[in-house]
Amino acid sequence: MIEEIKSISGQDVNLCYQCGECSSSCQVAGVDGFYPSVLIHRIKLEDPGVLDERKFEVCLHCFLCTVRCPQGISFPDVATALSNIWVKRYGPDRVERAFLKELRERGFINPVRVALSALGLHSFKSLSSKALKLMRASSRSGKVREDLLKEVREIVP
Amino acid sequence: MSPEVSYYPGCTGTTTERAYVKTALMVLKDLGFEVRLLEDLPCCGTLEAELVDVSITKRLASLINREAGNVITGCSGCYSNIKRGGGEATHLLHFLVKEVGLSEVKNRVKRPLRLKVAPYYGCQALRPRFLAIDDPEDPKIFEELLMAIGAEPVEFDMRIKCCGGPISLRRPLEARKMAEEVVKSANMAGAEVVATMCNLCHFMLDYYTNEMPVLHFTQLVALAFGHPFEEMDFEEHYNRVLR
Ligand code: SF4
Ligand code: SF4
Repeated sequence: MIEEIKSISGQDVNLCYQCGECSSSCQVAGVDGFYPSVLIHRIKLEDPGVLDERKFEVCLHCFLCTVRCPQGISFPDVATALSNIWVKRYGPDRVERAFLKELRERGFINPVRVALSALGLHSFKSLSSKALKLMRASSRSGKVREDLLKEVREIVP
Repeated sequence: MSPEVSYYPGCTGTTTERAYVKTALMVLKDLGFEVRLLEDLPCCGTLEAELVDVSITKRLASLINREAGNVITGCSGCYSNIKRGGGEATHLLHFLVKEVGLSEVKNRVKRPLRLKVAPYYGCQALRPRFLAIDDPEDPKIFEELLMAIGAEPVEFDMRIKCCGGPISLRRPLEARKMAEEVVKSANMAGAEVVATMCNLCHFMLDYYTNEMPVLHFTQLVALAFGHPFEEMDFEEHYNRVLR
């Protein structure tokens, strides 16, 4: 896993000396047991749970830990690499599938349609008047030039 | 002849954040630019494409640059994706403050905004370091712009923290809590409005909170430049803007 992460993201987790700066900087530390420094430690131990538990998906990619890590490690890039490895093994998750579909079909992402297909209609119940307004925005969309759309379809699986 | 610039609106620029694009163009025109709106270019891929395969982000960034060269965008997400994909982009806030210049902006002000504004930076235009439009942890650029248009910037705890947007589809409850924290922090600091500089940040704060108005920074600049309220498309917002 260490080498694969390095080849995807250029990040060398072996440089980590577990100071914990990343976890103490992290806004989502503790959410569903997510701690960047703990994940890095487990990567070094080749713990398969790092991939299977998908805790890396909690990372916001806010890059705050990146600018603070004394060893120059960028955890969000490690998280991206883990996600890429996951996709290679198991395919994209539900949210990624919604984005990819939209990208391939239109070359553009309508955030409302993506949210609907990833979360389902029920998730919009709680904020009804705002949600209605949001639904109306789902009919809007930009239009990507035909030749570019073809190119996007070559780029996006 | 006025200089030409290319503006990349981002996907939400054509759906939920149209008022941002409209007022961004307004401001650029006021400052003497001819703006080419890149509405038929594809999406930057967002973080999600990168999570699938980092090479998608790189290829989309080079496609965008091949078609339009260095683009200006007000969306920090697009800005970051293009830059991290190895491409070239300029954030609109950086463009106005560092390339056009504060004195030029100041000269256009017809109606100084006597408002207490919380400048919300979010993450994507500040970090990682190689793409930072200002100090990654202690930026001043947004405050400088607000002062140039006569507003009073308010310091608040959450100004460089995340809006929750990136996890809004996988951890919706957490994401919503984060958006609420940002607005609460601005409110506690005495701000009358929150100003954003990113399509997604604006959506998160405007949609998921109810405490106070959340404005695109370009709306504030356009108002200061003398444009009437009716041109700001506040009806596109989810929170009430005018009392
Ligand atoms: S801040 Fe860097 S060195 Fe410290 S624990 Fe995190 S990754 Fe390791
Ligand atoms: S990039 Fe991820 S791990 Fe690092 S501080 Fe932000 S949310 Fe936490």
